[in-house]
Amino acid sequence: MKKEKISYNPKSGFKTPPGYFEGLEQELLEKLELSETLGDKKSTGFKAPEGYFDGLEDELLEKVTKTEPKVRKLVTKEVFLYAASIAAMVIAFASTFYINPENQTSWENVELSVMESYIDNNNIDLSTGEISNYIFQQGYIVDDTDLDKVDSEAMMNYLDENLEEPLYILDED
Amino acid sequence: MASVTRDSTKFIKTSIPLKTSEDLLIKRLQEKKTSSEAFKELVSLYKERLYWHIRNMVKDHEDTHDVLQNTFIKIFKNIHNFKGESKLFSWMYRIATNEAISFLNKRAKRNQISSEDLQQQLIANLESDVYFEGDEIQLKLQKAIASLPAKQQQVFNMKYFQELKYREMSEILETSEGALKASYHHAAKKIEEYLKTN
Repeated sequence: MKKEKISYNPKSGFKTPPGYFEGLEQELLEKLELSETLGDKKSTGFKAPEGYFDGLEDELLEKVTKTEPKVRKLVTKEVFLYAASIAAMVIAFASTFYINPENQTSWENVELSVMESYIDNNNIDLSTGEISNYIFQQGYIVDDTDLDKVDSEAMMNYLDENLEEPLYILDED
Repeated sequence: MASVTRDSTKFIKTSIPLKTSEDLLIKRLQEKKTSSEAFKELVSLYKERLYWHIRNMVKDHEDTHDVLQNTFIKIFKNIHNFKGESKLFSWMYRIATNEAISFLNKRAKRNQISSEDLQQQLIANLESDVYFEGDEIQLKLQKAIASLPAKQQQVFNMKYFQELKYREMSEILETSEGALKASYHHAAKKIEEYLKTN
């Protein structure tokens, strides 16, 4: 079938977003197919308790003003690095006696291994995925694709905020 | 039980504040003496949109309430760093999305089940949930959505129920419009198949 002749006069000044017509057929078809199966209603079926949204502003304000002042600083960068270094030394020393030579913990990766074992032992209620995709840095959320752009300050803030008992790392070894 | 039904699509169409008033609101949020009043305004503007966005992901009302609280706390604590390079709306949606994902991951870990099994569990709970009033087709649709990969679920919910534009979704999910269209296409196909065969 011949394509419809373009009757649009570009001098009218109207324009469409780039790529608007590409895939439009597909989009319409999908809409049509789903509406045939599901009908026109798009409601999820979820509901909220009566009056739930009333007064939510005050409830949330109370929460944020309660949690706003951050009085306890569990760990500073220096303390954390100090603790990690001691743990690293203990592991490196122990590894010369107990660890299979093929799987030796080296100085290059020993700090990472301390971290990993700390996380693996469920001392932190977060997966590494969560850590990587939810770090605030200068007001932006850095996701795992940008992990290499996370600066040490943002990382320390994150650890400071999320590690409940960071000094337990020392007790692990 | 007394309840109010909300269709998430209604709130997405509410007008988003103009750039200038948004800037003003951000400024008031960032200043200590005006931050409380501004925060209440912010909650008032976005509470329902963010609630339904989170609800679509975590399904249960009480859990949604917890995630919504955490979302607003995070927004309040980090607003002073917000530079306005993306829309406030997109930034907040992103925080809500991350909070909901974080919540689901923690729940799966705590229950020692996979994310897929957790999805099935959440859907199974809907049948006895007093805050779910969907009919058979709506329940089936929820089951179909739960069978999709996580990203496709997000894209489908945002496009189909919340009727967000691909441009807005692209800002929130930091994914190209092309990839989102492909993702929605795959999701819609799978849902169509699921509904026909189940």
